Amino acid sequence: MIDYKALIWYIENLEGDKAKEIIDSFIEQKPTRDEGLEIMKACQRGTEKVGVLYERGEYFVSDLLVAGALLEEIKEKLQTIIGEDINSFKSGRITIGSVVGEELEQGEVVLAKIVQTAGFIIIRPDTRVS
Amino acid sequence: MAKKFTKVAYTNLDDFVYGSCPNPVTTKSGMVIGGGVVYPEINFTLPGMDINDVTMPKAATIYSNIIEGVLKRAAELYAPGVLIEFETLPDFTEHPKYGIEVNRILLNGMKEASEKYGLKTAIRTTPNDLREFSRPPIMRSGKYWETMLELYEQCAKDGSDFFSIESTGGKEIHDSALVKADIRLAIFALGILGCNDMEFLWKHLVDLSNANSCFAAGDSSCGFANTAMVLAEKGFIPHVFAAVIRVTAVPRALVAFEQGAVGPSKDCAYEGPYLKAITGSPISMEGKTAACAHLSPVGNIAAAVADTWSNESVQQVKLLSEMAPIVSMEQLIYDCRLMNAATVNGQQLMFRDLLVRSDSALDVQAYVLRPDVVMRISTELVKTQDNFLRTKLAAQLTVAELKKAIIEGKVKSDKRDMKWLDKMEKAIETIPDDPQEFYNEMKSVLDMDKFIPSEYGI
Repeated sequence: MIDYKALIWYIENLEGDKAKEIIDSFIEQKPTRDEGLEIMKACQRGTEKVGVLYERGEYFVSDLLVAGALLEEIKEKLQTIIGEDINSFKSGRITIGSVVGEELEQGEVVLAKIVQTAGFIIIRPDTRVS
Repeated sequence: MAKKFTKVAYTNLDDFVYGSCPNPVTTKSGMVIGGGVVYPEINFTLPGMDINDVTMPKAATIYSNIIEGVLKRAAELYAPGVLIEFETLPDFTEHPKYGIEVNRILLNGMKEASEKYGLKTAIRTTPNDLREFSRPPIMRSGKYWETMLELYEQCAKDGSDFFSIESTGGKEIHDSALVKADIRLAIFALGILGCNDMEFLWKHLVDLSNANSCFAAGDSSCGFANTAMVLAEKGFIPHVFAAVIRVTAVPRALVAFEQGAVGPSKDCAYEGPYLKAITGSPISMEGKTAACAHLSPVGNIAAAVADTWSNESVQQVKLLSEMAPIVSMEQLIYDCRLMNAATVNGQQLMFRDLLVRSDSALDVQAYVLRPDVVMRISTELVKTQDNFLRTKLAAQLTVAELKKAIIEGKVKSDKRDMKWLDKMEKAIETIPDDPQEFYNEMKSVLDMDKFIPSEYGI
């Protein structure tokens, strides 16, 4: 029985080793693809929470990178179970740029690139999501 | 034969003050740096422009105007002496003829100011470390290495007083360590790659300076600890990480002095107080008056034990009063006047402590520059002579100092700071004492396309 709550909490709190232990024991149980997708969604919820904590000013860019790297490691572990669809899982969404319609400043462009390398999707304030 | 620093240069913390040090340096013009007086160190650069054969005459005229303007103002304000820093633009190092030409313009300007006003001056020539222009960097040979040495040698022959550099050995790995706030990777980059490169580089620079009646002054961790400071200022990485990196960069900077550098250390090397505590050599520092170049949380405390006081760099642009380098010159002179007046009045220690107190409780990066903290950590660092172990120890000691200071409420902290300090503490504990063993461990996380081990002697 997988403790999804604990898994999400470990990822949110960047306890990578603990999160990977749960994934390893999950893999040992020879799960189905659907079960794999389910646990991957939980992992993604964990990194999304990291993104929210970053936006709230509680986490640093370096935390996003740690979370992104952790999700990549987990994706590698689960790839044989889930297959190519695993690549559709992103770390989360981050809003960069505070004023609608303004161009990103040079620093923000660099920041956006770093955040993207951590697997997060960049959202601009002037981007309308239907 | 490399020097060894086995004990700190001070026995009394009250002697660890600005303007004087146990091993002052006397310039050709008679300025005694570290001999009791704090001197202004002015640095300047071109406004944004291309450098090539066509534009070079214009660039030369700009430098000529700058040196004439700043030294005239220095004389008008009765400066006791001025240290000029010529920090070259990359084009000046890549094409040494440009750098040599500008250095000569500055030397001529200094000579004229001496004849016209009786002003004492000296010049620090700081070529760029172009070796990182090759990717992965070629550190020990090649055209960038050769042109850099060519520039150094001719400038020394022409009369430069001091050599400096902001060297970049290990930066290709350290940059990744910074954005990930990965202390293990940072210690590898600084303690193994950085220190190995410094040994190689500074042996050459010291030999060159000795052969040409010039002083090898010192290096800067600008590409390492100052990058961390700026990233922390932008909120990308924790301030505590930047503070730990500052002190972790000390053993790397110390290698220049082990190889024979004598100071004043480079202005943007905010780790300077540690170098002064350990070597007794004079240091250059910059703080509030360098806000024209970059912001920092250490504006006052940086001056606490400075021997020359610098503005980092400013472009030749017009401000309301005058051209910006002249404005910087005036600001530096007034800063130095105040420090020197306090010394003459017997209030040097009080003034040092005011500089310290005004910053040290407000940011962890300022806290690690407190003279008592500097002396405590330095006293431990000199107990080991191994650069890698010293680097690891510097990180360990700084984490411990900051944890204690935060718990005791001596420094303002972020709610995330203690978590990061705990994380760093645990990570440092996993680093083995044997550098080869550590390198073997790190191979799995190192991007081997980014650096060439043999360029670092490993």
